[in-house]
Amino acid sequence: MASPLTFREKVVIGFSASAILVVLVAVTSAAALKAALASDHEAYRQAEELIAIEPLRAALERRVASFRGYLLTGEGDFLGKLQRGRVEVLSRVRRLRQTASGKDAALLAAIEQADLGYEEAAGEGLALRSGGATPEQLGRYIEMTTGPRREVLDRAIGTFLAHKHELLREAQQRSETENLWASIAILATGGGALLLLTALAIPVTRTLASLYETEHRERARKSAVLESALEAIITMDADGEIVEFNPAAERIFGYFRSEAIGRPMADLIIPERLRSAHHAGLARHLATGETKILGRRLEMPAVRGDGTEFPAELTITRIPSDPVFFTGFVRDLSDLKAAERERTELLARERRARADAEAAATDNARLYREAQEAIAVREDFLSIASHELKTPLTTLQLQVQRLLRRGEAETSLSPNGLSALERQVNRLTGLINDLLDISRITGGRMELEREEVDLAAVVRDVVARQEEDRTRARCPITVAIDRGSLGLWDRLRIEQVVSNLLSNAIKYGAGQPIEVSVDGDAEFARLTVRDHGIGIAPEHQVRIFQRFERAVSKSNYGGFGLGLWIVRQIVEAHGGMIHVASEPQRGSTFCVELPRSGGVSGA
Amino acid sequence: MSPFHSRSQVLIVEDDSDLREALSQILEDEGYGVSSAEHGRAALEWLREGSRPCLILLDLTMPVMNGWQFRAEQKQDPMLASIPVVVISAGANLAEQIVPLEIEHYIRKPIQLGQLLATVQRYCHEPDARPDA
Repeated sequence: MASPLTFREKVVIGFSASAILVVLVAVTSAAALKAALASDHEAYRQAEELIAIEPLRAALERRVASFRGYLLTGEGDFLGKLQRGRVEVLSRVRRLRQTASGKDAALLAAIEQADLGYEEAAGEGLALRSGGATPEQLGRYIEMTTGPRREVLDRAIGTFLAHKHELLREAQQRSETENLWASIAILATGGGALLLLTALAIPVTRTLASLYETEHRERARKSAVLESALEAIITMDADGEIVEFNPAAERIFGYFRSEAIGRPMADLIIPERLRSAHHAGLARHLATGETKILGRRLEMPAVRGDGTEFPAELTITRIPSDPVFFTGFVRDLSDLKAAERERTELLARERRARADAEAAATDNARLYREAQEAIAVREDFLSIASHELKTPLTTLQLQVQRLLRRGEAETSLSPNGLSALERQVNRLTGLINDLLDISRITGGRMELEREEVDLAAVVRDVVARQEEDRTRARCPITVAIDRGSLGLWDRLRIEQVVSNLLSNAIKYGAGQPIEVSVDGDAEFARLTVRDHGIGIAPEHQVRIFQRFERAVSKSNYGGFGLGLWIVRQIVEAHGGMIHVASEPQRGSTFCVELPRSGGVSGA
Repeated sequence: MSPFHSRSQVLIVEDDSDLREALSQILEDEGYGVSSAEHGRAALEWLREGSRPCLILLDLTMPVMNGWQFRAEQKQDPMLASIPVVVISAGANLAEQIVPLEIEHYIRKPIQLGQLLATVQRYCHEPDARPDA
């Protein structure tokens, strides 16, 4: 309900209105009562006056009786009574006339007149008696003269009485009317005021009710805030005693509310070494109003019920009230601090790791790039070198072959010299081919030109070509060709395989026999080359198929260390495999298995 | 260089003079007529004079006009297109290099004498007689 008036203004207006109503009711009632009282008083006065007429009438009766008694008996007592009666009548009439006015005064004057008339007649009667009139004469006189005068007097009094009765009746009637109106006025104003007050009370009550509700809700909300706050909220009085202790405080400090209330806050939650400073600060604040810590967020250690300290954030506010209260808000920073520490540590670790990784990555990338470049340069060099070496070699070779073909007629070289020349040229050719093969194979460019090749024929061919080498190395050879050895292979490459394996057998098995066999089944052709030479230690048996590796010392045997590596590359390019069985000093057996399809699926 | 059409005339196109010499001597030993050119341009000029060899032995890497350029010109000339060509090269990936040349055979350096003679024989008639025989 949005009202332009504040609650205070409403209260003032309400009170003013009520006061005005009360005054109005009071004035109206007073006026009504006054009127009623005035009319009552009038009626009372009339009644009083009416009552005052009765002694007058009695005095007149007594005078009349005294006059007749004296007149008839002549006794002196009656005369005295007559005199006193007359005085009494006159004084009463006079007293009545003092307050009378208007018609009353006229009627009283008439009574006085009538009394005077009776008095005259009575005087004449007394004179008659003194004159010695007879009782009959006196009786007649009473009957004829004083009697009528007395009737006149009675009538005058009767008229006055009747008039007074009338006045009394009127006064009473007026009084009743006035009372009635007064009652009505009082009831009306009172009732109206009540109604108005009730009408006023409705909005007031409603406002109060809504205020109460708001207040109630506010209080409930505040209390809920207190109850549900994650911060410990502790209120203490000026003496430092705890007056409020919320559930978070219970949780954080490990005290029940009931335990905490009434205890000095310092003893409960402030570490002992800081208590005196706390007390001093509180005292100074109360004495001087100086505030060093009020309203600020402070980080300080706090202590739990079990005596453990923890880092806390404390904010103290002063509740502006009389007496003074202080409220402390305490947050447990343990987790935060721990998390902060952890985060800092993690950050540092991560930074270190990242720096390391970056350095490593940079290093790796650089090394990799350099290695790649080095490889590319080397492969390029090998390729060019072998290409360049081949041209002069070709000429040399062709000329040697031509000389050999033509015989010694055209040369001064001995046949032995010529064949040595050819051998060395062939050896050079083989070495250059091996070098070219490295660059070709590592560049992924070993292309196979498959054709139908008879493995047995290749073996016979190579064996025949190497006869001289074997003779020099004193290696007798046995060749066992079992059956079917045809396959789709690269002829030159298969020649290379056979040649390399046999060359190794001669090289490492000098002076010992060599056995070569070819056999196979529907799917595979198998070549076995066995020597009885120095053999290969088990730990070297895998290594020997790797590039530039060999099982023997460089100082004993020459070569690039490429032969078996090239053999394996060729065999694997054909989809085949090679394995070795060897024992040091007992010789080695190399076994090559080649799929007849040449490694081409479906062929 | 004798500019006549022969079933036993071989043209050698090779920039290395020693190798050119060795090849010529070997083929002449076998009774073939041999002409030689030091690059593709010279070979084309000789061919356009009207010579029709039974085979052209072609090197690839040469100055002035290389083997690929020569082969392209040759294929475009209807008079020359039918002359068979065998490449002689030391190239590392020869099989790949000769694809655009559209030829049937090639010989790798270093050359085995037997292979050379067998290949030449495949395209040219057996010479009638050795000059020295």
